[in-house]
Amino acid sequence: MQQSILIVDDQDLNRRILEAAFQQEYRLHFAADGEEALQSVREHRPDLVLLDIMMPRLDGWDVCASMQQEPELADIPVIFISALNRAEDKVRAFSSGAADYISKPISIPEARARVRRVLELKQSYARISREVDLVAGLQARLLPQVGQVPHGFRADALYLPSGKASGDFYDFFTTPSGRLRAVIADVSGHGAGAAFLMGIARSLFRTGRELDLPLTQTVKIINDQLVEAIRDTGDFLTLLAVEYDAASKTLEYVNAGHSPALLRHGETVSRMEHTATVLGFFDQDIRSEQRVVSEGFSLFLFTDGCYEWRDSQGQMPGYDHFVDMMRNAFLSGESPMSDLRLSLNEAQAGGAELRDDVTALLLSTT
Amino acid sequence: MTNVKTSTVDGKLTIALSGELSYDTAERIQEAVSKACADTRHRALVVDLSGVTLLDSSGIGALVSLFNAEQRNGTLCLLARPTPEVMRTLELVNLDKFFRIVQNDGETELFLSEVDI
Repeated sequence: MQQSILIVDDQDLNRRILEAAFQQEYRLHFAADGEEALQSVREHRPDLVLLDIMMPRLDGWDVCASMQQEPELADIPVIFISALNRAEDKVRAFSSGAADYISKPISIPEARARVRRVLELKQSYARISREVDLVAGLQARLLPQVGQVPHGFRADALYLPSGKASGDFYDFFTTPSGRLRAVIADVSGHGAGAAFLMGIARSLFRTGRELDLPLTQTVKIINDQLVEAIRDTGDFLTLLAVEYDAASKTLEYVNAGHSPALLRHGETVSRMEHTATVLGFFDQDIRSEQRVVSEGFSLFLFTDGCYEWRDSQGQMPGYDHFVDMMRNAFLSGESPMSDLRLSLNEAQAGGAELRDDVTALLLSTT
Repeated sequence: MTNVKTSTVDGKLTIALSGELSYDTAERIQEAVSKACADTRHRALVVDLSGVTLLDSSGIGALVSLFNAEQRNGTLCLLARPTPEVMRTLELVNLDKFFRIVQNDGETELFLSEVDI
């Protein structure tokens, strides 16, 4: 389908010049002032707006600013066309969100070239965005539903990718020998590259179930494969994996460079400290720890995105503060997940920006 | 903004980083640091972190791949003067034992005297 352009100029002559320049290639809409322009842009959603700056009623600056305020219009590229040719006008145009700037008097070949270029860029962004959407969609399907938690447990999960795709994941399932297995992991960096490595790690972890391999051996395989694939790229994976055997009431875990998680057992809360270092950098032996859990317990697993964000004053909660908060929630009989959700909501309402993927998993015996 | 300052004395290359060593800056810093390493003949590398205000996982990745590459060439690598926050970040990924960490020039010299550069 032909792409469409909205031409905005209060001078009839200018509109006709631009019409002659673009009517062959594009569907055109016209507006003679700022208010008409906004009406037209809302009604027709053109692919691009050619916008005069000095106009009656509402000027080009205000039209551009209004479009930026409306999420459905903010992505429509605007090219200013103006006789204001001072450097500061051009700077103001770009900082107000314009994609380009054409000076009057208009050179038709230049205007055509600039319009074509901006539309090509828009299409490229759209294509990349579709690819990343695809990755994010596949990735979301790899996460288990909290309702499908193995018998005897209940689960609550939080998953907030910083972009669309994420380097975090969690998983839980029952092994062929009837044990509960759960994992949380974090690939350094974020976006599509991290999502790719996350896919590898997740598949290898699941393969450990298919072959009924011990937890340590499963994590060792993940490390070996990642070292082979990404050594020296600067990427790595941290992971905390847990296995619970109801018959012996034993909890085994491997913590490979991951933020120590919390285990609530009866009235006590303890950390699941490191048993190995990060995966993907070098060969290492993978050790595990075991705890006997004779009564009901909860596991609270999370990634560093839960505490590595800055509030509007630039302060970061940090691990120690975060863990104190979560421990207190456990001790007062509340869900740390509810506390985490609440604190993130408050932080975002206060202007904090979550910079990394935020993921957490709470598993409790019923 | 992150800064990279380098100096070389008697085969010891010191790289002082300041600002954030994070997702937004790690790639650029890694390039600058690798170039400094390639351009300078050295037997020891000291990365001074005293001015680093934030280290995240991308920053950790940059440091580990730098140290891995340098140590394969036989370079003695030291991390100098991390702030308590940066030190905590290294502990939380269990890499505080991977890096040889020194708190002052005296400790640096002690390490360097052992390898006779």
